[in-house]
Amino acid sequence: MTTDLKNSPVQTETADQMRKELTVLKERINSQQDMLERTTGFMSQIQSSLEQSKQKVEEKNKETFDSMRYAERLQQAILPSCDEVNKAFIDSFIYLRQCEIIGGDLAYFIEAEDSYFIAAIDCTGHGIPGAMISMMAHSLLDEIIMQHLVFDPGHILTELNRMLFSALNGGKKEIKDGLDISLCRVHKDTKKVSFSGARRPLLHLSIGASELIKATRASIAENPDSTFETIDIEGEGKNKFYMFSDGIPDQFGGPKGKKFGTKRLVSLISEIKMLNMKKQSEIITNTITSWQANEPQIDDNLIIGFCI
Amino acid sequence: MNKFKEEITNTKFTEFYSNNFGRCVYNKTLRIGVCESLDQYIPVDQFMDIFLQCGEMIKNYDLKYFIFDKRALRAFHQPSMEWYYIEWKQDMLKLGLKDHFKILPNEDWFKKCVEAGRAEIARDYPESLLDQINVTYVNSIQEAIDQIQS
Repeated sequence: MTTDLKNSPVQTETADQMRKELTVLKERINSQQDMLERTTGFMSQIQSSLEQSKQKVEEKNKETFDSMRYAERLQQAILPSCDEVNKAFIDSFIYLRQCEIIGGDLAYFIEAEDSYFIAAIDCTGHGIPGAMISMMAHSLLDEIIMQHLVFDPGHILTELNRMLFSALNGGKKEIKDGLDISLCRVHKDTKKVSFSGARRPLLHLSIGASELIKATRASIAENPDSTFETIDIEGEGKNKFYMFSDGIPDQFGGPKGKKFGTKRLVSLISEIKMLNMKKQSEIITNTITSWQANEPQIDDNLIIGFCI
Repeated sequence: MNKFKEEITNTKFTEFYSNNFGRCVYNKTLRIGVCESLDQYIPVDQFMDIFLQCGEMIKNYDLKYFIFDKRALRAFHQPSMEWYYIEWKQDMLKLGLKDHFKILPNEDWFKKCVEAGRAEIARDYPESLLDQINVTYVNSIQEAIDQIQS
């Protein structure tokens, strides 16, 4: 006797169960396919949105870069030309390497009546804020010397300090920025040099002597009541003078990743003082580049050298 | 004993309801309800069944925190999720439940699918009250309990 299992209750129940499981499995596969399609679409949207953002950032970056390049042209327009400075002195050089396209270090030169005025301006910070302060300082120096006819370097810095402090703090917000500066007045006839500094010294080299003349220990626009001392320098024969921002002394590098330091810079200049200024500039540039090696440049670099 | 069983045993949860695809448990003292998925996929009718029961559990015991443990899931049905977000969660919000915790499977692809699904719901239902609901992703029931108690 054979049993017809085809339509037995057990068989029917098993078939129903399998059909249910198949339905669930089919639904699960459909859902996974749906998840895959939805997620792919979602990722494509994110990618497209990222590409749009990237394009916007690139456009903005280009605008900023173009704008900085234009600002660089403006800043270069007020820099003294080498010819202009060379005509005033026996020999000279200006080494300026900004950290960014524009910066807060600026060389200043002007001829007024019986004197030349030359300065190394070192604004706090670098980049755009530094450039704005240095442009303000440049304009104020012009005003003090050419319009107010103030020629004593200490008085010039005292006036610059008062005016810049007032300009930066006249509005609603107090601004802590300012600048350090070395300023020399060179009398055309007597060749006498008068110096005043705000935290930046003057290196004076003459035959057989080397002196780092200290500046007043106050920055410009730090305190409206600061006054700045004038130091008169007289030397026999050829005298060489160097003014520099803190960018080179503060540059990290060398075998132990240390700061270059003022001592090393003074020692370097003393070693090469007999060379012409162009050669000196080349040696300083090469030495600093080699010292810096793979370290990033942390601040603007400025050195001015002149010989009378 | 799987991780879920171990966790709910340690924290003394009581089972309220279960079917072949999920179960819901609660702790009246902590005012926490938990729904655990038991399979890799929950068909829509079963999903709604479990969550309607979860709703009853939340109402009966005045639960304030809800943990959805999806660790077993490997697929979800988007219309079920829409119902869960747009109807069920908002019904629960009316009962005072706004703090939800989720435990996802460890797979990155699944997490990305959840993100895509949520983004679609948020886009399609801008008027929903989803922004009034706090959703926190955790790695275990214990982590959710620790956050609730902190």
